[in-house]
Order: sequence, then structure tokens, then C-alpha cells
Amino acid sequence: MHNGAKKFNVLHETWVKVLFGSFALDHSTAQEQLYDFSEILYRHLRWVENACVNAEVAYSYEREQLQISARSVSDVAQWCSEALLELQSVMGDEDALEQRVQQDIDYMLYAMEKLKADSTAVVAFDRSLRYGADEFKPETLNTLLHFLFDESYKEYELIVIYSYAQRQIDDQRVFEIFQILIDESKFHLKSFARMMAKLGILSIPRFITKEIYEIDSLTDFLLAGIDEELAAKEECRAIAAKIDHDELRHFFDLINYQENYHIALMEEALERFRDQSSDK
Amino acid sequence: MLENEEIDEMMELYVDHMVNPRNYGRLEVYDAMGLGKNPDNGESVIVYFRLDDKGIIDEIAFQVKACSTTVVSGSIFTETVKGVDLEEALVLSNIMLDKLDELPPEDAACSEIVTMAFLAALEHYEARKSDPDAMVPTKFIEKTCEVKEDA
Repeated sequence: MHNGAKKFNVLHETWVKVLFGSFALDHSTAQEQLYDFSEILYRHLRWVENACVNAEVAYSYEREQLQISARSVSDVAQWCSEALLELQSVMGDEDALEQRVQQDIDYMLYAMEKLKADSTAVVAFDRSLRYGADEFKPETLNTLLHFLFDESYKEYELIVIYSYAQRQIDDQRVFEIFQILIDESKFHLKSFARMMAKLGILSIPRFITKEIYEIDSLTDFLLAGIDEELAAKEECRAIAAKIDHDELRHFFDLINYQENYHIALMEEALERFRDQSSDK
Repeated sequence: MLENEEIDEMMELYVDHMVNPRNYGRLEVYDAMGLGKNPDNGESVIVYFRLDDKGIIDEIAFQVKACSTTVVSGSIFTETVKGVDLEEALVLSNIMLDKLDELPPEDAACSEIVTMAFLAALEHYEARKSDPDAMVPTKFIEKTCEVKEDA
């Protein structure tokens, strides 16, 4: 693929921009549509990554620090349009993959044009620190804010790390495990980011440096990851126990219990790495 | 014990720097670079800076592999030393280190790791005067990043 590294980089930024554009919107058809677009862009990203790997082109998951702010649905549509136009300008149409990306962009731009007419207010950046009509006690809010900023970054980090790591492994089952963990992190990121939007503090996680996502030892990474999952479980349990909000209490219990299966999957991947090294 | 008003102000500051961390990133061209590390949990901070022709810190950037409080500390610290000369930056760093005991332990470790990264960058700057290829120094923190006990 010609200029594959640049295409990968712009595609990565576009995916993140459209993803967080979707998080900025309240429950609506537009929110679902933008989220679907972001999922398509993520798939494009992985296909372009595959093309880079096959062509032995070096690519990077590093990106610029991104700031998003909008006062209306129209502003969000504008932000997404600009990202899509930049992507359109760097993608060629030399093969079926690039043609597919270009055709998808055309449709997304068409949808954004329609959305630009929507002047509905967006509260995702107003820093109200209110959860809809609800207010939290200062210490609960403090714990919640730290959790959301830390965990939204970590979920994005995990998506990047597992996506990159999938290209480094031969074991089909470990590949599947990493895919499950990517999908799970996407759900967690979406949940946390939508919560941040409701509190008026939505922001795009800082970028992941090569030093973080280029893992020397996947075994050490998974061992540390299990400790992090256990810590996240404890944090979720603590928030669920203290938060005076029925919906959020149930949600944090859900996240706490979901981590159990993540740990089981990571232990399974570790076991397979151990078996492979003992076979050698 | 903090009053509610003080908690609100701290929360506002924290949110402002988390939503929009100042100087986050890397400098491709820099005069010095330093690393701060927490030996207990592997968290780390990198600080880069570049001076103008009058010796003023003209550009500064930081990156963290650490928690959000460290991002906020890095954002505030780099904002503070940007625009001053190295002598004044050293004074400000020492003031920061002197105040660590006044902070809650988990916040103290976050502020210390940022300051140590900057002090390592100052060492790097001095070392590069005689050896342009001098190794990037690492400084370790002494504070422990204890888990926050909630009220």
C-alpha cells in the first residue's frame, strides 16, 4: 500500500474523532449512527494495518493529542466531517480496500451533511459535574472522576495494545482471546465515555506511545494485566458500595463481575504461552 | 479536613487539566530529556525541554505512563516552569519537593515523579554540554503511591 503509514495514522485519528463524536451525543439515532461509523472506521484501521504488515511497511499507533469541544449536534457533525475529509484526501483508490474506504467515507460525509442542520445542544463538555438531574456528594464525585479519567484511558490503551499484539502472535486461540478483550474494552470505553459526557467532562484519552504498546513480553504484560483487572474490580466494587445512585450501582457491579472472565481469558492465554515455551 | 468549597476548587482544577492537559506530548527537537520513575509500580514520566537563545524554557513537553493525577501534576508543573530560566526552574522544583509532605501520599508521589523527571532533564542538559550524546538520566521517587482510602 502506497504511503501506508500516513494512511494508518490519519485513519487512527479519524476513528478516534468519530468515536468520541458519537459519545458526545445523547441517546439518539445520530449517536448510534456515529458509533456504527466509528466501528466501520476501526475495521478499516485493522484492514490497513494488515496491508501494512503484508507490505512490510512500518506503521505507528501514536497520534496527535486531540481536543474535542462542541455546543451542538451540528458542531459534532462538523468535527467528524473535517476528520473524514482529511481521511478522504490521503486515501487513494488503488485497490479494493481503498475503494471500500472511499465509498464508506462518501456515505458518512453525506450523513454528516444532514446532521449539520441539527442545532440540538450538546452537554458533553459543559463541565456541569451533574449526572442528568442527579448530583453526587463531593467525595463520591471525586472518586468517580478519577475512576473515569483513569479507566477510559486504560480501555483505549488496551484496545491499542491488543490490536497491535494480534499482529505479533501465531496462536489462533490467543488471537481470539485478544479479540474478545478488544470488544470488551470497547464496551467499557463506550460506557465510561458516555458517563463522562453526561457529567460534561468528555475528553479524548491521551495517545499511547510506542514504549507502551510495543510489548517486549506478552507474558509479563498479561501478568501485570491480571493485577490491574483485580485492582479495577476492587475499585468498581468500592464505587458500587458507596454510590447513591441505583443505576450506577448496578452498572459498577456489572463491570466488577465482567472482569472475572477477563482474568480467566488472560490466564488461559498465559497458559498457552507457557505450553508453547515448554514445547520448544 | 478540606472545606466543600476547597474540594470544589480542587475538582475544577483537576477536571480542567485532565480534559485539557497542557504540554502533553513529546518534542522531536529538544535540548534535554529526563525520566522519573516509581520503583514500586513501574510508573514513569518523561520530560523534554528546549531553551530559546536567552536561556528561557521556550518549549516543554511531558508524557506519562501513570495515573490521571500524574497527568494533572505534569500539566501544572510544566505550565509553571515554561517561560522561566533554568535557575528559576530549579528553585521552583525545590519548592515543589519541599511541599510534598503537605500533600496526601498518593498526590505527593505523582508530584514527585514529575519533578524528578524535570530534575533528570536538568542533569541531562548539563551533561550534554560536554557530551552531546550523554545518556538520558533516570531519577527514582521516594514517596509511595498509596491507594486512596475513601471517606
